[in-house]
Amino acid sequence: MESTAAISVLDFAFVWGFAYLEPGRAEAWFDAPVMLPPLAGIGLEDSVSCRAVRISSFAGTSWSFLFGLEDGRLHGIQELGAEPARWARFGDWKRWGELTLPSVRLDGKVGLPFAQRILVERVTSGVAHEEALFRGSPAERVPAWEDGGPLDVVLGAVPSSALFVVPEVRLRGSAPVPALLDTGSAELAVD
Amino acid sequence: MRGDDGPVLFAAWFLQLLLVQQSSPSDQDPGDQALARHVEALGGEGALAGAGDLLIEGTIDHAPYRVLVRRRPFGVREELRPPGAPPRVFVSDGEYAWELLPS
Repeated sequence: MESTAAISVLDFAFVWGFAYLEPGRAEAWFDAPVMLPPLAGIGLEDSVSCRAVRISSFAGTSWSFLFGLEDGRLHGIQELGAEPARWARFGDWKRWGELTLPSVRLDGKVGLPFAQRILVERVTSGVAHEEALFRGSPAERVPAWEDGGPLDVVLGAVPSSALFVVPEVRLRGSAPVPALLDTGSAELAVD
Repeated sequence: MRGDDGPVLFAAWFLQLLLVQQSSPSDQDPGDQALARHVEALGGEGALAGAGDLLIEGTIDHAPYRVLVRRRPFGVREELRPPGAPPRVFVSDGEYAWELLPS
């Protein structure tokens, strides 16, 4: 999966899973209200005055979350510091059980004429999802740190100097290659 | 001695007052206020906590679309069924995101 696609999935999950509500996620707010224009035909017929709150997603992406000053609902999000910036609009709120959620979500990029439209037809609460549905994380395939081997020491021409070689280094599943441990680096680095 | 309790009691009262002031909604910063109002708009903290895991069903550009939300441990699974193409499944645990390929 490409990194941009992975970031997109992470950002979708951030909103669908209400992770933006976690304490400490909100970084700042903008004093001036933001007026979102109407988008006719998808339940967004009225312009909305919003409070913009800057929130960082799982992927470290900075977003402006736009909450209605009148109704407190999340009316939109816009990516900050990206070109072209992604955005989403939410509308046509409906009540499903105890929750009130938007039934329309529109996703696009600034400057592009098309957008992706999600229509929510049903929300069911209290579902017991099978554990297996969430398996497959690449983290499960990362080898443990203790799988590493000993360093090879190559004595240098200058007395008391030496180079340290990591005999087998794999990068993203590549064949093992030797790598030079960079002892002058402030962080752990191999060349 | 009883007379020595004065400053201690005053300090305790002052601290209590500070705590009350810090927790009053009017002193929240506008970002926190917006988030608090948003939680109420969703149904309130109790409704969010009580809702548990969610299944969201609908369409994405007219194609069937489902989102499975697991609150703890966090997980979101998106399922798309584009017409004439294999279904696509994306999963995230909040740290990683991956696509499940058809086996």
